[in-house]
Amino acid sequence: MNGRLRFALAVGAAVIGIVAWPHAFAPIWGTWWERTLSVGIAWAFVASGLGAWLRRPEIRVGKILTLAGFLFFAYVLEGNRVPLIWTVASAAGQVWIPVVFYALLSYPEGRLRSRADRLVVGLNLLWMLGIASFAVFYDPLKAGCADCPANLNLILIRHDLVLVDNVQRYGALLLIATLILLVVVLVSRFVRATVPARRVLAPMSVPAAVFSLSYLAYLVFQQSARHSLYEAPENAYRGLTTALLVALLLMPMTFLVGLSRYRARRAKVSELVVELGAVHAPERLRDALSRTLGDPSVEVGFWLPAESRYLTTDGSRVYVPEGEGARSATYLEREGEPLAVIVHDTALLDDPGLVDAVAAAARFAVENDRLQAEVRAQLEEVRASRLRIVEAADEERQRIERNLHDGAQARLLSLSLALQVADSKLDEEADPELRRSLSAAGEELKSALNELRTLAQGIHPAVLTNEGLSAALEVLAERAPVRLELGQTPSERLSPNVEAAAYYVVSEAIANAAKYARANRVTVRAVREGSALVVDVADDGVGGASVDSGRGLRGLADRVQALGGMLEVKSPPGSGTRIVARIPCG
Amino acid sequence: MRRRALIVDDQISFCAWASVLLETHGFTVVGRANEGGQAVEMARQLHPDVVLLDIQLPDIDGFEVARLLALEKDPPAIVLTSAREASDYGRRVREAPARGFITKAELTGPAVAALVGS
Repeated sequence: MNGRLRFALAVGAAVIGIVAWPHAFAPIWGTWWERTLSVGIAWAFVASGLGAWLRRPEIRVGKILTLAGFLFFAYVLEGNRVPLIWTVASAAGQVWIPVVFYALLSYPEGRLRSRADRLVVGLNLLWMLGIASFAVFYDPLKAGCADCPANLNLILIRHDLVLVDNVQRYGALLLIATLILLVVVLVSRFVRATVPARRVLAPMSVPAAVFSLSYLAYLVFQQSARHSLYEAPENAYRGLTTALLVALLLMPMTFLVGLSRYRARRAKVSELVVELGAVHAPERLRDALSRTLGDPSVEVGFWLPAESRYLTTDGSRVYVPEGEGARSATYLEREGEPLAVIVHDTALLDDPGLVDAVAAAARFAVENDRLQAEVRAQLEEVRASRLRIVEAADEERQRIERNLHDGAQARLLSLSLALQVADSKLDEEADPELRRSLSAAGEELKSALNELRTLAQGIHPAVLTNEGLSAALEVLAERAPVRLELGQTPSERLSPNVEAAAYYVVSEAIANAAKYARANRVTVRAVREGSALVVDVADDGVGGASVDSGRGLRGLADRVQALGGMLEVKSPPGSGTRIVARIPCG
Repeated sequence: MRRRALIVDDQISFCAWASVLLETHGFTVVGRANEGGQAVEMARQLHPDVVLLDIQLPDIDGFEVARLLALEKDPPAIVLTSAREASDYGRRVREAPARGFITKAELTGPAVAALVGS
């Protein structure tokens, strides 16, 4: 719909321009190129306005410029001898001026920012309304226009030249004051702007300055002539008017140039996303943002919930501006919770689409970092719980072993002793049957005690807890079903988790060597290497073992990994098996 | 001549049974202690020939008691015992100042007598 509207406006402007050209106002030289200049200004405004509207519909500048262009046609047709056209042009011929003022002050986003802006536009509007409304008191014929027909002014009430003159005089003074104010506001804005803002303001500053200053000079000369202070030559007026008109011609195009500088930056947002995706460091975020926004003073603060404020990556506080000023803050949030803040030049807000796009990209990167941190934390949690499970299982085993020792084993021992006592009390004449029964009972009891002891040792080796890893490995070596060479073992005690893990690795490896590998010889070593215990068990059996081959190595690997370590099984078929566990000692 | 024996174990029932065993095999049990500290005291007072010493004691373990007793003038013959096996204690058993170790399951009067010599 907008497209069709724009097309209609373009066509309309073209038609009006062509139709108006022969009658266009040419007060300076009266030549055809002056007429062309007038129409050209209107077309320049309309064309630039439509262009800006097309490319940047969210910014009002486009519509404002288009409006100014159409209103300029009213100025172009001033002096026309058709009563309707003359009346309209006379009343509305200056409406374009406040619109241009508005465009200059609200550039580039199309909104007035400060009270000074509003004051200037307000004053100019007042001036324009004053001048226009007093057109009802002006009859061009009576004012001295030789070839003007009567009743040219359709809204004439009565001709009162003195009134009109006074209004024009005071109006001119008001306009001079307004123009001075306009220049002051524009200059101060440029001076206070930081680098990226100036890049955008620079193109249109020149025509704006020329326009304002030429208009100002023209009015000052006019008033000084009226009050007989100074009489400027005719050429001065001509020169100033020409300068003014040329500036007006170029002004809308410079608007477009300035706006296009935003567009170039917007294309870089996609680069920002890619770049942030490749490298993850919060410091890089600040640099990347600064490059993309073209603002070297940009700062990024990350929200620290513990301290309820924003800090930069090196821990320093971020000054977050509030209200209006040269610096602005764009907040990144997630589900209503603060995440980060980007502090940047206020001028960047003029293109809200850019800042939003960059903020979205930055939020994505920050979010990514945050998610990674969350995942890492969860992983830590899982590791910790794994460790707790292993420790709980070990404690349980120790408990069972102790219970067996203190409970069932103790009772059976007592029983065994009681039987021995009974046996010793039998004298030689005792019933041989009785003696045999007692003997058999004693043997049975011994077997039961042996089995119980083996069971208890399998559940948890007491020597490991009491005497440490070295002693426990020596015991394993003595009892091993295959020939075992025990190499270096740790001379000091390590934490119970580490010693238990090492012990079970060796004991399982020996069992496998005997049971599956048909090995003849096993070598065992357990040494400290740096902050880890390295357990090395090698046999000369048939090989072919792996962590998942169902020989209990999976459980060992889990246990070792739960402690943050690694288990490696090297077992090429036919070449023996080597198990190496690296357990951090902390 | 009957040898004088001190039995040290924290389980009273074991002390009772062991007393009977030793008494029927030529020993006279002169005392029973339930703790390491008590054992050392009684040994110093009673001067037994033989001490049947459990390793698992509530205060100090049997190895420590053996070490303390070995410092005495004319120390007794110490026989270490435990519900567990010697190998559960590793080389501490070998290095202890005792005549030997018998696991409780294998404990008999003759075994003790053999260790302390006749």
